[in-house]
Amino acid sequence: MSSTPFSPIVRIDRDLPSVVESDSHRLIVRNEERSGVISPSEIASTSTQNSSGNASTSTQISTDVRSLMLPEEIKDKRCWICFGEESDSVGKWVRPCKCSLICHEECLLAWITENQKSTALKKVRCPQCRTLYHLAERASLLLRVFSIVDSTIQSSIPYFTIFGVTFAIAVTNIHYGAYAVITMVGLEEGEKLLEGPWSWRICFTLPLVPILLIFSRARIADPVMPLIPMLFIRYDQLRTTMPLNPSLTISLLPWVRIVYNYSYNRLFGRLEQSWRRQLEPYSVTTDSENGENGNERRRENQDVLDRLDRSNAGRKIIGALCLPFISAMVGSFIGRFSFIRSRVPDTFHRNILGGCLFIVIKDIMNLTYKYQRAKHRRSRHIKNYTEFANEELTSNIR
Amino acid sequence: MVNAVSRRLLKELKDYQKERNPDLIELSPIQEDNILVWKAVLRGEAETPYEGGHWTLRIEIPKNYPIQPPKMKFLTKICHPNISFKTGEICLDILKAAWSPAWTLQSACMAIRLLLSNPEPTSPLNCDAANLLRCGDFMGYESLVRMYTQLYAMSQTDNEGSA
Repeated sequence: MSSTPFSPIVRIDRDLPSVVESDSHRLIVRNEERSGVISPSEIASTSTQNSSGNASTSTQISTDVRSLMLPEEIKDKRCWICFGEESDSVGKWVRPCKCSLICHEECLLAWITENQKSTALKKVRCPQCRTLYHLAERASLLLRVFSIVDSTIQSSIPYFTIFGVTFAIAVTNIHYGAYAVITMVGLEEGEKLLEGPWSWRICFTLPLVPILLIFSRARIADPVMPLIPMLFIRYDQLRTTMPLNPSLTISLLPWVRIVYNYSYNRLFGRLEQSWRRQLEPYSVTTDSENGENGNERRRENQDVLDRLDRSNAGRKIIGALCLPFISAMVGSFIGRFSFIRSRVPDTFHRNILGGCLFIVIKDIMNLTYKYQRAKHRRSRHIKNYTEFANEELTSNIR
Repeated sequence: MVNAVSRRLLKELKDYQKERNPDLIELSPIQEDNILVWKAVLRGEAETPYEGGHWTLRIEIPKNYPIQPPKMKFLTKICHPNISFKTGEICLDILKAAWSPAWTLQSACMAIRLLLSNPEPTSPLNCDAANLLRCGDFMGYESLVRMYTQLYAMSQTDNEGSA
């Protein structure tokens, strides 16, 4: 703060409502003469040039003698809270600290009550000399306990909120996970799986289901994806039987995903990229020979593509969460064909197969759509006015 | 209670009138019959970008003053990190949690005047001004403040005088 060029002369202290610091100013000089702390009420008079300080000069004589005086012995009393003087106010005078502030008992009690609004039994100090106010009061043990409990609760609310939100998310995830499992393995099997007291594996994996599904749609999860099933698989179940048992199937899926994504990119990546580029307002392929300019434009276009990818985030998340249910639908559909039924007898494997089938079909459709759009874009040209003006004329004549 | 409030306010008024404060050009109730709404006019500190400006503040005093702090806001537009440019709201601890009855309307006004030369850009109400300070662009900050001082806080006669 003090590094600002229009150098601050006086600063407001954050705790004390009084002006304390000053580099080269008459404020501090006057303070030393008086050997007292400046109260806020004196800011005004001290920062002006022509202050005679009539009220303060009388106290200048000796604060030490005054500090031992009882309120009754002080002349020219003025309550620092209500500004009432002896002549125009009634009430018991008290002098709770050693500084010059004296006041009515009633006024000070009102101020202390206001301070303790949030927490009962909070300590209150004199705003000028920081002396702790001593109250003769009967605070029962019960009140003290309640006060402590009250302030603890008050301060722990944020933590409870965080805990509650986390808990709610976890519960939602577990429900989703359980529902996804039941959909995938079928109702009977699913109930059997999720029945009874849950092992730690179920407790950990169920909430992970939606998270992993969402991450499976992003590239960043590639290196860790195959490792995650290994953390939770029961190794005694890892026997290579035909058909593959569910644990092994699940742990193989990430590998399948990586191989599929890799070969997809190898086969269609470049093609897809070029189609997408053709859909951009300025086609990069036509400009790329122009050296610098072309490079710049290509970079710009890449930015546009990246942005498009990001704007699809919501679509990807919803798609990922719908995957188990779509897989189950496709699974039950292919289950109607007897030759699949005979080869893949149980629901779980049919559903997994259905999911894979769905992804492949979806990708094929996506590619076709992009190809069609690119083709459409390439076939476009703008008609000259004469071309359609003639057409319109002839149609009007008819 | 209202009696006690008006007694204190009248005394504050008398104190102010007894000893005129050149930095606080005006401090008085706006209307004769309502002592709970005051008006104050601050003079900008010399050798700061606020030099030469006069700002009017509106002070609303609660019924249980001085137990509760008065509500103060700028009526004249002012560019300062801790004062809202739109509403004139002031972010100063002594007007909120750090209030104590030892403050008076006059001393609170003077504290606001000190705030002008001691901005606290970490808790801003005017982010544009605060960001200039946080980036260390004091030249930019000062000229911005000076511009708004000239635009809003200098009366017509003052402008003619300087020109």
